[in-house]
Amino acid sequence: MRLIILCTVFLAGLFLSACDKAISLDKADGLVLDTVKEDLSLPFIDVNGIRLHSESFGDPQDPMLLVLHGGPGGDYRSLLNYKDLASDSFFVVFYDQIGSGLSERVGAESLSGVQVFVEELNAVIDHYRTGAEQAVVLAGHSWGAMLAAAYINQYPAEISGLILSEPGGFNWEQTEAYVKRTRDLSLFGESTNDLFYLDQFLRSEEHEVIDYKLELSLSGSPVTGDVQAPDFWRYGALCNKMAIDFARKNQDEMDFRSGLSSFSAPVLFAYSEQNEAYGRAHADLLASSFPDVQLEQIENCGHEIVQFGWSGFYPLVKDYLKELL
Amino acid sequence: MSSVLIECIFELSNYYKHSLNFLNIKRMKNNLVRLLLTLTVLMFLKSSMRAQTINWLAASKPQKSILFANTGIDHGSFFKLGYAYKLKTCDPIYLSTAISVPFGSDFMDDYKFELAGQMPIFSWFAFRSSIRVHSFVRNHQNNAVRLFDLGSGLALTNGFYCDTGHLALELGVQHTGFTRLRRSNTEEQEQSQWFKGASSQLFIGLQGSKSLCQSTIVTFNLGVFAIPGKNQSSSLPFYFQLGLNKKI
Repeated sequence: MRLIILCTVFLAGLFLSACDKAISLDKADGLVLDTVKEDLSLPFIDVNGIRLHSESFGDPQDPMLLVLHGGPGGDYRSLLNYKDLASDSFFVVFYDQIGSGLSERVGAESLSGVQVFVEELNAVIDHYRTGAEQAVVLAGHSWGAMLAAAYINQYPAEISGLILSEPGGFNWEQTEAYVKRTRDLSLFGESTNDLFYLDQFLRSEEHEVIDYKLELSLSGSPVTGDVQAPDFWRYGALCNKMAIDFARKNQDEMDFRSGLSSFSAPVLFAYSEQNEAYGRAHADLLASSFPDVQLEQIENCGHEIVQFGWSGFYPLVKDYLKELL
Repeated sequence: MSSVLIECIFELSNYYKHSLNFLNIKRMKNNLVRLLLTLTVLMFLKSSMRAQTINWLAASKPQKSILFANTGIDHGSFFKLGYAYKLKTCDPIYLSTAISVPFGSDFMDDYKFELAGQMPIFSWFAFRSSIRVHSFVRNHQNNAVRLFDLGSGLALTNGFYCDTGHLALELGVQHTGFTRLRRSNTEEQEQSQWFKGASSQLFIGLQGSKSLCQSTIVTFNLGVFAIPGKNQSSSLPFYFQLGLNKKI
C-alpha cells in the first residue's frame, strides 16, 4: 500500500510539473484594459508630466463642464452621459485621474495625497481653458465630488458652478461613516468572504492583478442600490489604496469644509433614492456646508446616478446650468 | 452535493480538453497515458489541505468511519462537512472527502471540494509522523467572473499522541495546477481562459485533538501561510479551525 501511495505522490508531481508550460495567472496579460501608455489609439493629454486619458465634446469656446469620476482609482466611463450637455452649448471635458482608469500607471511615490489630485485638476483646467473669461463648472461623482469640494476649498474663484452626485464626505469622519455603511464587513458576510476567498486564486501584487482583484471585489454592490455594476474601464488599485491610506493617516488634510461656506455660486447636490447607505440625512449633512444649495433626490437609481438615473438627473442639470450661466 | 459532483466532472472534462491542447503534446498516446495517470491520482488521492485531523493512536480502534464538521477562518470564514474511511490495512490509512463553503448570503457560489489520503510513516513511542497527499477543485463566482481551479499538495504532521488526544506540528505546501477564468461582459458574452494557477502556498501550524467520549473528538488547527517569491501576498495570512469528529 505504501508503494502505491508513493507512486501516486510521484504521479501527482508529474501532473504538477506538466503545468509549468502554461501562462501564470499572476503574470497574465489582458486581465484589465491597456492604458494610454500601451494603447496609442486612446485620446490623451499630458499634464504635470503624466499622460492622462482624456477627451472633450462640444465647442471649446463654450462654458466648460469638467467631469470628475469616482474612486479613487475609477474612471469616467460611467459618467459619459454628461456628454449630452455638449449639444446644450457646453464644452464637456472628461479625464481619468492620475493612476486611474486608462491613464498612465504611476508608482506609489506619485500618489502622495489629495493635493496631487487638486493640482492635477488645476492643470487640466489650464490645459482646456481657452481664456480667463471662460466659465468652468465642475461635475463630480462620489470621490470626484469630494475632489471638487477640495478644489473649491482652495480655488473658489476659479469655479462658476458645482454639480455633486453623492460625495462620500467633506471630511474623513463623514467619509468613513458613509463607506462603512456601504460595505458588509462582518466576518460571516458575503462581500468579506468574497474578498478573502479571491486570495486563493490571485496572490500577485503586480499592478494588473491588484487592479483586477479590485474590479472583482467591486462588481455588484447591492447596499448602494445599483442593480448592476457601473460601466468602467479599469480600477486603479494602487491609486485607491494610496488615497485611502493617506486619508486615514492625514485626517486633518482631508477636511475640505472651511472654504465651502464662502463659495457663493449655487450648488446642485443630488442623491439617489435607492442607495440605503446614503439617504436624506447624509445628504443634508453634507449639503449644509454650502450657503446656496439645491438638494435633489434622483428616483429609481442607486449610487450610480449619472449612468442609471440620467433620465431624472439630466433635466435638473440642464435647468441648473441654464439658470447659472 | 450531487450538483457539485456533476459540476466537478464537467469542469474536469473541460480542463483536460483545454490543458492537453495547452501543453501542446502532439502524440495522442502520451495524452492518453497522462490523462489516465492523472485521473488515477485524482481519484485515489484527493484530500484537503488540512483535511481530517486524526489521532493516529486512537485510530487503531475498530470504528471504520469518521464524520467530521469544521468551522473557522481560512481565506475567509467557512464551514466544512466531510467523511473519512479507514482502509483495511496493517497501518491505518484514511481516505476522506469533504466540501467547504464560505459563509455569506450567496450559498455555494464559492466552494472547495476535496478528497484526501493520509497515512502514518513513522512511530516511536508516543511520537508519530504522518503524510497527507491532497488535491482539490475550487470555485469562486460573482457577477463578473467565475474562477475555477484544480490543485494538489503535500503535508507532513509530526507530534505526540495518546488515547485521549494529540498535539502535532504540521508543515505543508499547496499548489494550484490550473485556473480557469470565465468572464462575463455586459453583452452577456462569456470569455474563458486557462492559466497556470497562483504561486504555491506553504503553511505551518499546530493541530490537536481531545476526546470528549469514546466516539467524539474535538479538533483544532491553527497556523500561518507563507508564499514564496516576490510580490505575493495574502490578505489573511493565517488559518484557524475548530472541528468535531464523530466515529461510527
